[in-house]
Amino acid sequence: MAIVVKNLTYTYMKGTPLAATALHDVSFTIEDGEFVGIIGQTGSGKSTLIQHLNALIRPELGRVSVDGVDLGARKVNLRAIREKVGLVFQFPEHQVFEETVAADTAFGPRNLGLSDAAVARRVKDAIAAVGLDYEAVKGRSPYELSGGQLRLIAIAGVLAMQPRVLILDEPTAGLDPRGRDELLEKIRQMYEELGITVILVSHNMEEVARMVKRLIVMHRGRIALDGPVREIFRQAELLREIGLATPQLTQLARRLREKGLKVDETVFTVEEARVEILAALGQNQARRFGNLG
Amino acid sequence: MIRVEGLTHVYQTRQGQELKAVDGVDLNIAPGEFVAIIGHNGSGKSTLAKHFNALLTPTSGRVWVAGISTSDAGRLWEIRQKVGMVFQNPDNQIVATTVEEDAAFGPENLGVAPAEIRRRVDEALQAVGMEEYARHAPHLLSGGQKQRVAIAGVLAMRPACIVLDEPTAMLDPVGREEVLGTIKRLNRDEGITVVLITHFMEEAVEAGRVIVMENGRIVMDGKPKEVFSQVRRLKELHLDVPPITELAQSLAREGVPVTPDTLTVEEMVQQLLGN
Repeated sequence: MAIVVKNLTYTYMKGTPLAATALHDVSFTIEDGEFVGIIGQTGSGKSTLIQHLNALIRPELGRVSVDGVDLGARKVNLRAIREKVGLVFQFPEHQVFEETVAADTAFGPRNLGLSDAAVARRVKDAIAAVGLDYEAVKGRSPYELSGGQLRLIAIAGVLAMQPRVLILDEPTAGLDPRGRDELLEKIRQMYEELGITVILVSHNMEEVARMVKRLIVMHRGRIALDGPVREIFRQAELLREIGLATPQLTQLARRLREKGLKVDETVFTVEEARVEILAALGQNQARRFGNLG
Repeated sequence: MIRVEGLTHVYQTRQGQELKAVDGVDLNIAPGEFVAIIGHNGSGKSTLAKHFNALLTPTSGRVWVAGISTSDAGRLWEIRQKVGMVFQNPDNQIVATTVEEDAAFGPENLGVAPAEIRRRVDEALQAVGMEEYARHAPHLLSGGQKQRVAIAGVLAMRPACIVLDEPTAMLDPVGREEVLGTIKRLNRDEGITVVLITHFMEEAVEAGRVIVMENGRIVMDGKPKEVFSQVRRLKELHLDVPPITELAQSLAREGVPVTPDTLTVEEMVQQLLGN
């Protein structure tokens, strides 16, 4: 289920005075089972890029292939691609429209022409996968649910298509801290339990850092950085130029390093920072003590 | 500016049950304050805020805005001129086809003279840094710009106080910074009282006072340092704690001399390394 993007360039409203190039020569590969974060400011090309990954936008220049299928080929089974690559848009709850939770989740699989029993099984599994109690919510109106739950139902609707790749565009936007933490935990569980590839699109560095191993940083339609999270954090200056802040504790570690305290500049959790600072202070103390001796 | 005494607000749900959204709140907000209200969805913070400009009136208790009781139905317009509201979704607040017409909507409805409207709109757009966009179509603006236009629309009413209900929840980091910067400037330079309802701990830290709500009640109220240094309490409420503050307390437990209310990177660097 590898996703291969090669030299992808995309221009909106091509050939008009309003032409705007959203992607410039973008290349990367995402392997089966990876958990990748795509980060960048509004207008950096993130959304245009992910719409290419399930063929909502067909490649004009360059190539996109999913599982060996060239999405630019004239005869490509778009339906099969969209079944494999599930895309959860921003504020997906705005797209929930059925009268009951179960009916809304069933909408996708029903369009696949499955039997009623198969649809029912998928709905049940998808609602369980987002961590909601199927029996308790199936008959309820989606609008009686909390904002966080409603969003989970929208995600369940995509999961019911049993995609191999799940792409989430700003999944936590607008949630309160509890809703955000719960949703991120659910996404982590889906990744681990379903064995799928997950691509998390966000502009929140702190949030993405805790979730993924690999980060792709987009800037003005290009890939500015691509690598393990900690390697990306070493590029604090470049990130700042791009308008993306590193986590607060990474900033602290960097400032301490500048001032001569030997701490790892890629820490981002409280526990890591505590261990690093204590070790570095301890060494300083020992050195001072040594000097006295 | 705003005085709340024993305020309780009960909603009737569709099933006919009663839901107590605000439960016996007492609160005083002085002119010129910048107050952030944090708390979860359902904690009652938005319901409370809607009492500040009489969008809701008390089930019991009293609310006074600039000395006028919000239960005094005849003086509703006076109250709403004094306290303007900005909501979460920028797209739901825009009513006109150009930015300046949008900002003029409020004063036009007040029957303000055209020349005066012109002056107010120009000033308001300038105050939010949107004067260059006066003749632009609002729907083509970014989220942050739309929210600044919404704030300009409120400013054109010449309010003494602005209440913002999660104005940055739907914005990206750049948009959030634009809006927060605008709010801070209006408070500092124009002396406008600001009540900011937010989920973002980073924004609440910037206020002069932080109020935490839970189950319809005020459970914490103090300066940002006083509130955010109560790490354990905030975690119990599932609210965000500044990572620096949490680190400071964990280092302090290990005997490192840092104060438990450290809030910023620079404060921490100072304490650990001096100058």
